[in-house]
Amino acid sequence: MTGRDLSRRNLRHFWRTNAAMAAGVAIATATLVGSALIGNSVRESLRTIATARLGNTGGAITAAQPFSEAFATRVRPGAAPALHFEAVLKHQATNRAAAKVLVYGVDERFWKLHQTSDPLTGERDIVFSEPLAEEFNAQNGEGVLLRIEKPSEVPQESLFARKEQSVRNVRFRYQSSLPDNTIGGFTLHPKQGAVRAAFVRLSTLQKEMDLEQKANLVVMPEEARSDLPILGHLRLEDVGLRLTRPPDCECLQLESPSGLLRDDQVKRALDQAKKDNLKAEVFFTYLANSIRTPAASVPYSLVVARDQVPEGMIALNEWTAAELSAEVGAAITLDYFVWREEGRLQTESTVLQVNGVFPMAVIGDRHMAPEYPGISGSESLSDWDPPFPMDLELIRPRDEKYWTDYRTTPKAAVSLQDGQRLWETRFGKVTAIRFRADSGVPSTLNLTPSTDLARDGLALLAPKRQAEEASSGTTDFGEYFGYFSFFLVVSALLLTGLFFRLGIEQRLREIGLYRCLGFDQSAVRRVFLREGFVIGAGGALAGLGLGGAYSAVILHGLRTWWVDAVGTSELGLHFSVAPFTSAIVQGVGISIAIILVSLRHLRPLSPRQLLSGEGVKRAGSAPRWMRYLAFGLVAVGVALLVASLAGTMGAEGGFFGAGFCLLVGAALQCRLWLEHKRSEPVRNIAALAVASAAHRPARSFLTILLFALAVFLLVALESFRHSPGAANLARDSGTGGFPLLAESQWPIYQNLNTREGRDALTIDEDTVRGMRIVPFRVRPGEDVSCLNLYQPTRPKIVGVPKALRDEGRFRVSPANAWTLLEKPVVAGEVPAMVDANTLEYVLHRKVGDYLDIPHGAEPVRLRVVGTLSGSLFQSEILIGEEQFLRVFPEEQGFRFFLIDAPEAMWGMITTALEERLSDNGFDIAPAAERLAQYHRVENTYLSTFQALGALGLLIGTVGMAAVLLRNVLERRKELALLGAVGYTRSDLVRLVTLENLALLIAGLGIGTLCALLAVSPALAKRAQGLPLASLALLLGGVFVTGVVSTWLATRAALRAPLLDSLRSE
Amino acid sequence: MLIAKGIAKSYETEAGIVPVLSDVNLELARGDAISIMGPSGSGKSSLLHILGVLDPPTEGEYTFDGVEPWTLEEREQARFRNKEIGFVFQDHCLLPQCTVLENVMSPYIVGERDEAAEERARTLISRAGLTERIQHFPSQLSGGEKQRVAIVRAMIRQPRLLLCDEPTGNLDQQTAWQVLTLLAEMRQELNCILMIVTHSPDIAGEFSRQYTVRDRKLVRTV
Repeated sequence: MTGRDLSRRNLRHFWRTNAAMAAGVAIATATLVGSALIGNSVRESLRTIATARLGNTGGAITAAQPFSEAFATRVRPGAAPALHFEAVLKHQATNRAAAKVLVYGVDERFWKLHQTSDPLTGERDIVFSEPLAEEFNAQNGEGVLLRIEKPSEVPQESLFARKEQSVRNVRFRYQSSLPDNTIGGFTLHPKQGAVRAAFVRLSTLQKEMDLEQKANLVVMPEEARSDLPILGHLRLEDVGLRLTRPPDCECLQLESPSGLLRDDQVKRALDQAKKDNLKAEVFFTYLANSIRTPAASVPYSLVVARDQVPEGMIALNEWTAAELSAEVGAAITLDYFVWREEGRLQTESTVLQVNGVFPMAVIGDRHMAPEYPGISGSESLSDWDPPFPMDLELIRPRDEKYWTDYRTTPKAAVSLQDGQRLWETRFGKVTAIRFRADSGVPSTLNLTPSTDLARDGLALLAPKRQAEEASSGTTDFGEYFGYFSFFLVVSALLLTGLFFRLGIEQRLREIGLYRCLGFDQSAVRRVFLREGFVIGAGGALAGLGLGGAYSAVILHGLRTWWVDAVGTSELGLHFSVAPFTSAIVQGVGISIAIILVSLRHLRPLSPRQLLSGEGVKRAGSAPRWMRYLAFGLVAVGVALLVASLAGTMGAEGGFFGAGFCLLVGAALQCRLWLEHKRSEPVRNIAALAVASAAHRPARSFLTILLFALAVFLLVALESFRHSPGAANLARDSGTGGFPLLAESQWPIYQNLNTREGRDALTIDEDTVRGMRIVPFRVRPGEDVSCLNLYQPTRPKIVGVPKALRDEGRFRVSPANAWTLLEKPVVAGEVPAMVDANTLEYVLHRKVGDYLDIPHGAEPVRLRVVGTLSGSLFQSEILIGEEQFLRVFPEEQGFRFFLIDAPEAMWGMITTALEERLSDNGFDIAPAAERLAQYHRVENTYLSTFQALGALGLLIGTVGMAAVLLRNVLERRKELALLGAVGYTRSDLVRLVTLENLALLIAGLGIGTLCALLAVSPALAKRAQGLPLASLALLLGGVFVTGVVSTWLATRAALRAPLLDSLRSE
Repeated sequence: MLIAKGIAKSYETEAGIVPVLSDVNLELARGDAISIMGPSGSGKSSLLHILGVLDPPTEGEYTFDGVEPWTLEEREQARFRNKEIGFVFQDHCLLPQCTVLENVMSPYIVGERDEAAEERARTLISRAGLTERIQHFPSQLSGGEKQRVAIVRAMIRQPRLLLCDEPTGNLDQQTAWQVLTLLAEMRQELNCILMIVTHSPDIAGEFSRQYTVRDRKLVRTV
């Protein structure tokens, strides 16, 4: 017989112990494999969802303002132009509506790019994504109404834009649906939930929206790596510029349909003019409500600001001078409207001195002024339909005649400096530039349409690459399962070690015999290592299967019971080779490591000691190193806790690091305490029970630790559970004291806090009595809360008005965080605040870190200066409103609102505002409901991880039962003797039960205490109390489980007659 | 030649250090056979363990055929035990997972194997009257049969020193004499040193040299 034969025999002979060890290895392996598989599966599923919905899209260009359709073909042959909007969709058969539906106007190029046949057969057909079709149970031929906002060329937050939405109603017929896990769910930004998309003919949508030959989206098969090739294909009209030749001018004029030229556009044009040897003159034309003297007034007149007029002066044309009887030196008052950022018109005035009276042509011509909607095309002044109030009583027949003869010819001119100072907006302070050559009309101006796509409202996207990157996810499930599984793995390893140790104790005499026969230490080790290899490999293989099953169960749970956590039922199991191969290695490694560690403590024993069974260490003084270790672990645990509380260490590191150190340290302290107790006299059954537990300190320690690990996990996770309850409306709570919040699909420009604003939106004063509404500017982007599984790359950003910041609402850290939003610490950066949960768990940052937000050529750098605790702002990043306007001037209006009102008015306000603002897609919800949404996701995550804790509890219970049975078996003679001297059976049951209850209570106490300590930093940050009721219930359940299993195991162990063991003596 | 000089042994217990042997001296040549008697706990098994290189002495020198086993490295000690010493214990100490033949052959798992080893094992098993039991496991044998297997195992490597600690302690009288007879025959064939610890005066009386452990010392009585 060889050593291999001996090992084989041993495997078969000691199959019970070996099977128990293999089971422990299988559990540990299954946990590791399962965690890796879960993480891999979630990642792959997210990637599959996102990329499947993109079809063959490699790159895309989007624009805030439509560009020419031809641009798409210039950019890349095979690219597909499209119009895309967010719409409100109304299903006429059911009269139900859906907001934020993605509508795509596409043609055959889109379908060809994605290698699918065009599903649209008619001009008025509409195809839905399947979730949208199911939502309405749409049937072929049913009528559908799309309400779409047409983008305004004129900036909404300016005097000349119409503030009410330019909403178009477009009718279609439902034809069919496409699955949303294909191109039917087309979306440029990854989203795990169902996509509500609709497809119509591009030509139909262009016609309905008055956007013939226009597009605002180009879908390309490849990603464009830089802006350069795109910029080269742009024309002036694609970026909202046009060069005209005004009649009787001998010049070129640069202007914009928006009415204003941006500062960068002006600078580029002037620089180019220099290069082209052209003279340039800049104009800023504005509308004065009146030009007046104390005695006379001329209403509704255009005034041009230009260079030739000195500052502080005004030049009148002859007509105006005559009307006002004004001479050089006279004081002239200009009255005019300005649009304030907070959403209201304000009348202002300025007084200037006449420096001259000039012929009309000298002051200016009618072509200098931009096209004002509702004004320029009117036949008479009285026909004006401007977006600001106008008093028709002021218009005289002479004014009408001027309009008829001269239209928008300026009546006066002021200095360029004065005009820009008085009337500038963030959208620009120039309305036109004229270019002249030294001789003749300039042939052209070689002006580059754009140097910065983002500035011109275009965005270059790489949706497929973004989807791949975002699929790594905000929540790495594999990582979190791995973290929480760490305790389960340790439990499994402890259990495996415990079983092996019990097995070794059983085979001590055998080991002694090997030594007698001439086996040296390494020969003995080889025998066991061969066994360990087989046990490990067998356990690991079993673990692979278990791990696959475990991850399948978890994924099924995420798709069904825990779908709230992930928001999609499309998660599937994705295998990868790496976890399997590493599992085998880990499984074998684990069992070999356990064997080596267990055999190591036998090294100092002589063959005689082994033969006599002295290898089973009985109670004695613990080695000094154990005392130091126990103390050291507790000290390290406390230090990690303090570091986590102080913020120098992340909550995760504090939780896992401190938790583990405290657990093991406390369990060791417990073991040392038991040994101390052993030296006390035994006077009753309880003392005898403690002495018995102390007699085998290693086993007792392992049992305590097994239980403590499970309890730790369960209690720690339960501590974070949010209890449902009444909304907290305190000013420093997560709602900031606001009972309601609202979101608007399309921006609102008026100030809802003023009568003027409410009147403009026909909101009845009585329906909103006592209401105070705080409007927020929003840069749309990705949700950065736990509701979004994808890693956000373009987060939603919200501008917080100063008035709210000054109120100090919400719980913020540091205490002065709101004031830090005013000004950047470092020039060029924007200070920002983020909810603490979002910052830590989604963005993986801390206070002081920065985030770069894609925004054209240069990203916008946000510097995190503070956090909010458990707030309703978990889906967005907050910056000051002033900073918002500076870095995102293109974002106009308000889309997010917090509403404060007396409770009696909540219902009425909700109904009134939703009705009046339905065109904007205005939707109000209780603020508490927003918080509850986040809490539901968090609670669901906790439940999934608690499943691991439950498994750990099972392992702890099994371990304790095994130790109990083994102890009783070994002590049969001792217990029989006690019976012989007068102990009754119930005394013996009580003895054994008490011994194990002591271990159970110690494990429960240690696990609970360490858990509460470990979670304290995170709870402190969240300003969250403990859910005492559910914790008490949980601990009660664990205790009862432990007691019942102990009692059952004790009864089973003591069932066989004990006296037989005395007879064999 | 076995030479033990000034051997002492103490054990560390919770109650303190307990001396068991003190100044034990012994010289045995090849072919010598001795019995050692003494009350329970007197240290006679401890002496056997020291001479069998199973438990180190607290003091003293021990030489066997010129080799000082307690100065060897652990690996060399194991080899020494494998080649030179055979043990027979009171409760036989067979490997329960191995057959009779495999138990007898177990020293060869780590020791050098020779071609004749298995043949020799079968012969010895036959000599012990266990041919029909050769493929049986220990759980299928009687007490006497198990002890006979243990004796054959102890002899298979043809050791120069045979140590028996109460080899008949668990056997009835008739079986005990069968076992002793086998032991004596095999020892004579090998001409090895035999040391046997026993409680039985009858068994002890069979030896020409008899010792007793008294007051921690080894005293020759016959």
